[in-house]
Amino acid sequence: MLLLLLLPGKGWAQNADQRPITANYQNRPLQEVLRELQQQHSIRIFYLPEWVEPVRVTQNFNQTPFATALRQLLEKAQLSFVFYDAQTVVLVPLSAASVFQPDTALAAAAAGIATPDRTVTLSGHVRSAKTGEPFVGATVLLEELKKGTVADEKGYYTLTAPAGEYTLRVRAVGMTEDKRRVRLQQSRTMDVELFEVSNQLREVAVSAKAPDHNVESLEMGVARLNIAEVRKMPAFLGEVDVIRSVLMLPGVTTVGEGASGFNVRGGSIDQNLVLQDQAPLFSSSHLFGFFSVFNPDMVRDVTLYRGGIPARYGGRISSVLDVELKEGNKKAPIVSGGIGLLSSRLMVEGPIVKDKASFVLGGRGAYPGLALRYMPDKSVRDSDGYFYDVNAKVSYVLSEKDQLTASGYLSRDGFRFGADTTYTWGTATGTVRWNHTFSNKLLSTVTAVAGDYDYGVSAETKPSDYTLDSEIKYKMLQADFSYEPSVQHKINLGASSAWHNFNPGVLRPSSEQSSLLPISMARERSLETAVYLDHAYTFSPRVSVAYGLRYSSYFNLGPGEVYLYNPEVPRRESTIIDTLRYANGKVIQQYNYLEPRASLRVSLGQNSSLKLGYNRMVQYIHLISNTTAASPVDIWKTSNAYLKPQVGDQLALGFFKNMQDNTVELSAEAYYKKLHNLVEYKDGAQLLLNSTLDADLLPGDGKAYGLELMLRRSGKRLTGWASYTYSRSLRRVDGPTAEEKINNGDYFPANFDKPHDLTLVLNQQLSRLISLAANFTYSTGRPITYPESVAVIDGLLMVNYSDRNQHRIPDYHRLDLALTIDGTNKRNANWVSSWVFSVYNVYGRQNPYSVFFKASYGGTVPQAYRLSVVGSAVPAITYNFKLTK
Amino acid sequence: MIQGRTGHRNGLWALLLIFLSLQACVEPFELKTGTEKRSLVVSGMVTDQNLPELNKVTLTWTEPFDGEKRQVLNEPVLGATVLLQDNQGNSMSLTEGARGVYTLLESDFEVQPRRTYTLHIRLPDGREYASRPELLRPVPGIRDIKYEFKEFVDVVRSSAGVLVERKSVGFEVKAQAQDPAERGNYYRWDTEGVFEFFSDVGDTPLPSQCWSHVGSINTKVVVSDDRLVNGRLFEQHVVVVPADIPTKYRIKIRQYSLTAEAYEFWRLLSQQQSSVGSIFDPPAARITGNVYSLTDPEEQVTGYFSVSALNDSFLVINRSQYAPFPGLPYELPKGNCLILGLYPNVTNEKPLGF
Repeated sequence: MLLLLLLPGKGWAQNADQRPITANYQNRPLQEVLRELQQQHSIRIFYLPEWVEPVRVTQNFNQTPFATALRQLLEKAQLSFVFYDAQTVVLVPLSAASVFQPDTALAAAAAGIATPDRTVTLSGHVRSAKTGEPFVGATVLLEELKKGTVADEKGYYTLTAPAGEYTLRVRAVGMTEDKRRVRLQQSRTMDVELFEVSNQLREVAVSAKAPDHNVESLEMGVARLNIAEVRKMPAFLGEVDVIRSVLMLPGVTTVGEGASGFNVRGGSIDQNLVLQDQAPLFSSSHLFGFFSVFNPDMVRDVTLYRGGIPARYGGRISSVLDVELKEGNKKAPIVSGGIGLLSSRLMVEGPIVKDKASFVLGGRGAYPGLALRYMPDKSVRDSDGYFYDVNAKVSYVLSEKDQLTASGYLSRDGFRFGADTTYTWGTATGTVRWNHTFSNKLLSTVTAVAGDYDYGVSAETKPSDYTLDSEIKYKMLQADFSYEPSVQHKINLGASSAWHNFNPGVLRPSSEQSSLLPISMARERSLETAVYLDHAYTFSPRVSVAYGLRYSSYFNLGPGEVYLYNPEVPRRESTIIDTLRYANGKVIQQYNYLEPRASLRVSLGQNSSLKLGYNRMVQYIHLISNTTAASPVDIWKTSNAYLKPQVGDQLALGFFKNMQDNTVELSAEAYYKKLHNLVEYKDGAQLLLNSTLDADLLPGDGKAYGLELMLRRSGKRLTGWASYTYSRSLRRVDGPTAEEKINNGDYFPANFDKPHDLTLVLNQQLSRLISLAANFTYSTGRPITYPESVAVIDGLLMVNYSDRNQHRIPDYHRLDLALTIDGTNKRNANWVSSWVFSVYNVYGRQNPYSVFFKASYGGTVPQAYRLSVVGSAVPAITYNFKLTK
Repeated sequence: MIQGRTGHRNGLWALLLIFLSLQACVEPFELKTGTEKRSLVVSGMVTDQNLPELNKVTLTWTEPFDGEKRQVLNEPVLGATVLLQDNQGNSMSLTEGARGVYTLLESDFEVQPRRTYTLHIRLPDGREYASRPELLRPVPGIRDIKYEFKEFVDVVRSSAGVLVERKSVGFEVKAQAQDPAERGNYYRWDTEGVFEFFSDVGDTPLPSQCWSHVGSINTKVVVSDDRLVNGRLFEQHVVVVPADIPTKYRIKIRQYSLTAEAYEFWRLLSQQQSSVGSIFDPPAARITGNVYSLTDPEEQVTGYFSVSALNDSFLVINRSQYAPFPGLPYELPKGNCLILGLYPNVTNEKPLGF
């Protein structure tokens, strides 16, 4: 098994260690240099020819000690050396140097011991050589065995293989591949540091995952986007936007431009758990939904789970969007940023203690107000808007086994309409995470999160001046353990608890003269706890299963009042028959749910597999909004005696195939979902400051099904994907009385039901410095309710509507382009910059956002209108830079 | 007011689009949709005042939604029998007039406060309808009427469909009322406008000072509840009196009581009127009234029959104090002001208040 071929040189018995070297090597092959050294210094150097073959060195030595000189010469080849004796030097790969004892190395080298056939484990961390940041999703592959794995969220990987010597290939997006020979005689660790590829800014890779990950893993319905990839996509007004990129994935839709949130596989926007460094966000939008809250500079990667949601996640029934922020550079300080038409960004990062602790601080501010000031109209000039967000993260490696990270986030939006009405909303979150490695088989993470989302409106229109404030506060604690006793088994378990406090609205008259009454809606409190366990088991290379269970308990806590309604008739304020009062801390309502998850993978030969998955999710908090798109100032409500938890069941079947050496991925996923206790609204429901809101809400059922086809290409020059989705999302509200039914209790299409969806995302590297990206999207128009007839009431026209959502607005399609020009592609340039030119909606299609009906001519003639939000092509230009010390 | 929040938000959204220079556009398009199957429309009320011009019910048929026809000719229902009954067994008959209007004549008026009224309709083909009972609730008086001369800036869509700013001037008229201490009071307001105008008759003895009775100048439903102002003195914006000619304008405001159900009907109609198709619009809602068919429970009936107490008050605005108004300079028309044909319902009998 031992392949190490030794090339001993001739030499004399002298102590080479003591000898200084004086020489000048200009671009000389290393092998030649080594040969020269052997002769000059009467030593023998043992090495493998392939280690040194491609390497050329340029060094100048003047009376340099031998060891120092040799170290410098070998650095480029990633080799180290060991003095076996005074005349014998053994070269060893740098990564192995720490574990290779000279005697074993030489013994092995000299004797060529065959290794018995036994299984050993290789594990370690994959980090960036420059920043020390772990690489999530870096591919680690033993080439000879075609066996690979993916580094986890801490950059940790582990692989099991028969003892032997292999080629280890480690790859990550934007990094030069690390390829090295590894001798595996016993279980060992090997940390790999990767270097940025020279043209990092332009590097385009579709995904940070193993080339065969989509076929080999149990995952389904999971999409990862690397921020480098997100950056390449044409951006609306030049603002790189995580959520807009997510919208390009199959199974993700939106009701229209400017709408906040996104809909995943037929779910409402509040059914997405949006996490930023594990802190849930209640609003992911800036400027009423035109932009998302994630600062692209701060994001490391984005994972969207639209199916196969791990048991560790809970609390929302449609999807999880997990946005991880980067850690600061542990090696050198870096300043980077960008200037755009709407906002600018600046980020500073660097080590606090080199290689141990780092920080990153990033901020973004928008200046829409600046543009407003140039508007000719007074009321527009009087208006003002802003948004900003600040992220900070500190990470500290306490020891080999412990890492602590703390991150904070602050964002604020404000918009004043004319001189009198101001809308504001803002988020503040803080996360502390402690990772502990018990052994390379058992890892743990403890996460604590505290957050606050407050939003409100204030008006200065006398005599109805007021401020209306709402707020959600939450605290969470979660512990996760990951145990991998052998390569066949992987067990995750953990527990979490989340405490929420909702303030649904406090109205205060803002002056003595205001005719409004102060109104304070009762606060709502809840506690959500969960424990989970899942086990992934690989029966054989062909078959693997994973199954898990999450058990969640929910408590709606006092103080609070519960109205009892007459059960015989539809709930209304007038049908309240009694009021129950609960003291502080008393349980008003409790719910318990078992949430099972399961998946099965069967390999169908070399590069394809079939997967089956099921999961149940439960959601205890709900966004209360009956408008087409939710606004950031809509209220949230926690489950109570009337508002039952939403439950979603999903069954999915997928076929995955990779072709052309894993550069082309093909997938087909079909799903069927059943949703229960969805929140629907009575016609004309009043949602704001309504103490009997429960009476205006209706429980609904939903079903959604679809087929998602996707072709993804990762390559050098042309990357991207094409996807086609056929999906339906239907709702049904079938209460006992006509008032509690919608469309007579029949299924009707949800607002975001768009059956056909075609998306193309392409990026073509035109030259080393220029790349062109294009996005094209087509989808069926969303459903809308049409008028049935018109009537005249008291001289005014009234439109009678037909059943809900029985018609559709015209189809939507759009093409966006972006051209990125990099200033340099030098590997170690201190100043890296790029220009991005983009055009959104290139052919200026006036995609209807809505169709509505309104009487014109003083309210006497019926008229239909089409509203397009973006009615023309929108060009933008952005400048990005990065300064490394 | 908070009710205006959706409206505000819509305006806000339009504004956002403007500064993002997105050229958002609204295009009217012709759409013909809906059923030919027509249903009965009942629109009307009875007040606690014996005023036949207010105590009437109009019966018409619905029409399909037709954006091409450019007019709505709701066909009147002729020959129906319309009866008003109270909860004490008294019944009043409404007399048919022109174009499907059935009026409670002065001689038949027996409406009493705090009683419950039900409308019964029988069509010539035998179909029968009834309204759900409506309680005649009291309404407080109008404390005061105020006006303010102001410039209005709206974000509107030009004929080209682009969002533009439109400026206009007018007199914003507000009614002030004292809400009673108990909760659950609902209000509706409407208006009646009369203005004077002059003509240049030279030395002839022809009438040169006339008044035009323009009736209701509301183009939108104005309703409110006391949810946020219970027990307080509150103000309600009712109408904008146009600033077109520099003469006196008498604006009468009528304040009606409503039941909770009637308020809900008018509120939804008001919401429909303020829809702009934006992302913050609530989805189109069906507006159900209080009239149902006695012969076929499945049959749809549109509209509302309400019973209201009424209080009114008026204010005369001397518009000349604020002249000149933007636009063309005001020139006196020539000739007999009674037969100029510029304004409707012209009289030279001086109305009260001038």
